[in-house]
Amino acid sequence: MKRILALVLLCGAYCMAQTGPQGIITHATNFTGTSMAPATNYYVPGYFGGGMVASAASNVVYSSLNTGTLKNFAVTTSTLIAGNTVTFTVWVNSTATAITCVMAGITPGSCSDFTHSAAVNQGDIVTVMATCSGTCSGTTIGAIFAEVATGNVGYMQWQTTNANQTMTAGSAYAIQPTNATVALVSTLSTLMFAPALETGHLHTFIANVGGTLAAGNTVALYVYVNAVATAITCTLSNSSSTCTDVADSVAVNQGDKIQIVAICTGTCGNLLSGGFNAQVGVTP
Amino acid sequence: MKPLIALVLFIGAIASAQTPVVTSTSGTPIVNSGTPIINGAPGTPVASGGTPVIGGSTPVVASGGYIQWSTPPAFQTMTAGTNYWIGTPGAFTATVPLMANSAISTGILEGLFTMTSAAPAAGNTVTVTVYDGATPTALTCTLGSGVTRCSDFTHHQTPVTLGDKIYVVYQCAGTCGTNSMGTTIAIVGIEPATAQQLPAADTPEGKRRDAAKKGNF
Repeated sequence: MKRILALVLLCGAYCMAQTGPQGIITHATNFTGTSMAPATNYYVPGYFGGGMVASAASNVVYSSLNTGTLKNFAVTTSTLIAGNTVTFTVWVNSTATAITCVMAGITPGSCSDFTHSAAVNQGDIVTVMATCSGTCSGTTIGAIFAEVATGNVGYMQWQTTNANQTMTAGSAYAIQPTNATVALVSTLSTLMFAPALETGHLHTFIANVGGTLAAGNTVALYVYVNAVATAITCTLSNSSSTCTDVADSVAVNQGDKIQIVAICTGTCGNLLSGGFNAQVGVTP
Repeated sequence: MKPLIALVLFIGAIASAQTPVVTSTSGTPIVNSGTPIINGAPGTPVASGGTPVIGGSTPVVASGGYIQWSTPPAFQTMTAGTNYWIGTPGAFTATVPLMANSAISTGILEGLFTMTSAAPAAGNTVTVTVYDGATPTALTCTLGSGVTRCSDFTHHQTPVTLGDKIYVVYQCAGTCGTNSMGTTIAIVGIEPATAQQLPAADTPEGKRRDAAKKGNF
């Protein structure tokens, strides 16, 4: 009887274990870029609007909100000067994990590690470190966007600066992934993207504008996968500062390039609005 | 002996079938994500066509996740007793920011972590509270002199509805003023749950939730 009781208690502990919410932790720099010295560790900052920093004291960082597995790491950059190789590594507290990827001089560039994983506890500090080898002089690398998941589900998040945006009617603009230091970008071909960390589905799209669009203008926002518009879309207007699409979902593969594209209809120009914020869920 | 074997097999089946499960503080099980469910008629592809499109009139999958906020790299100025919203993005503002993050699933707010590059000065404390719209939730923590990080992984009975605006609000007590805090980040988690999985209004956690919604928790 004691064994039965022990077994029941063990199952209870397992089944009811509090793991906390899973999600995606992102780190990003500004668009100014960073000068890197060879063989020196730099932190991709947790805050928006700064370059990489070489001192932990200058950084602020995120913690994992769940106890689980850290995995699926991807980094994109706007530029990486030829002759340089930058290694990105995920750290937990003060220890480097096996989760790492390497990017050689390329513009724009990306790398990922969908193979390695590391245990993480609720409250553990998760940082992304970059180290350069090669010439490593001048502005070695441009804007950086890094994401790593603490489980299987999460939101992806994009933001422009919280300032008025100027758009030409009918032209496509994109929101840079979770950087928040630039306005809408019209050159889609050189755009950074947010890689899908899981093979699964994108779903539940919510967008918001930080002000009021000028009367007569609407801005349609689309989720793009690998430079192709999907059925996930919603439209902001003078009377609606938030829009959603909870009806559609789209299949994605791990590593697919996810972008948010905005197209204005109306007189457009200076929209007399604030910035744009967009979120989309990803589920295996 | 047979009943024992049957019980072991039964328990084993439950354990192996479990997707991650979380509990509210009072123990009500809330099932986490699980296998995506695809419902409804296929959605209409946009003009440019593209990747396979799945969708319909019914929300198809629930996903929890993290929401992040950050100030730019700068000190924050705070008046004592005043609420400040961390921007999406931007410096602290004393008014509710129009550019905001939303809950992309119905579920439970769970997990708050915040960090600042410069702790409040001696004699000052900063209380950090997660808001669901205009309503403060039970998710809260406090920064004090020499304390640059705080978290709340304990309170997770606050349900949110898909589309709710989620904010993190900072309030300083003491002399406060310029350089009250440094560059600041915040991260909040949401566990997905359906309305049926949320605590009922007549349960202790449901009553606590409703009291919290009224601001008297």
